[in-house]
Amino acid sequence: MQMQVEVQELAEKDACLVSVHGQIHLLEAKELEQRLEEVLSDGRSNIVLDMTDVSFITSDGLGVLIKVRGDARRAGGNLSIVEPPEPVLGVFRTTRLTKLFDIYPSKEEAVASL
Amino acid sequence: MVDAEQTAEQREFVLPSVPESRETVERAVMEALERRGCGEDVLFAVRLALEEAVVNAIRHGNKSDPNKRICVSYLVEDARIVISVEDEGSGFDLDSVPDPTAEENLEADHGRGILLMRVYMDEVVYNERGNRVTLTKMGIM
Repeated sequence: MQMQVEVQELAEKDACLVSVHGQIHLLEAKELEQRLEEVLSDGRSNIVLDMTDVSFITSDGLGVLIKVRGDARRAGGNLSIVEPPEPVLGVFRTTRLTKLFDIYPSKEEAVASL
Repeated sequence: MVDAEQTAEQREFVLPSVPESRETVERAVMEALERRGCGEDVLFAVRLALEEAVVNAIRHGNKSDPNKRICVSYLVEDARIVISVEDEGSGFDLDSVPDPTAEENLEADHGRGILLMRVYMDEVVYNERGNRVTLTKMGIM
């Protein structure tokens, strides 16, 4: 499935829900980075990234998420994640990025933490 | 219905160092595995390791020079797959690659490719020069 990205502003201050669908390979990672940086430059520094429909990710995708998380935090916000399915979550676990990212089991819990 | 005694399948690709080359070889490898009835976990693991190896070869080995080639071959036989990815670069020192899972490296936005290959494949072997990696996964069926 080709990657699709949807952006939805949230009522919470400076917050945004970004839903990603499909597989994140090298080129998709670059596209996702561009979309997330656009959200940040619009002043939305609290990003909830819904990965529940992501079926594949590589280290390039992980690198983009780490970079954008850093940019969001420097802007006073954060990038939190709604838990992807296995085996994508397994990639986060293998790389110990479950220690770095705030990963929530549901969109509601991720938004409630804002 | 899967034929348990399928003959071995082997192919080699010589491709330019561009991102699209990943798709070409990945499609062929995935189709070969699907023909043998491999499960989703095997498909995921091999796809991930293959992509990490190809991207490393293109980006680091060949410095993303589209005039440089990568050579990717695969062999599927019995219940294993062996993939080889070679670039035209001068190689690298495997021992100099930092551990991406170390606390001080968690926020680095790169450097996880080799780790992922090692976790998702059963064997990852570099040649002495460091410009060819051979990935093996056993028990694929």
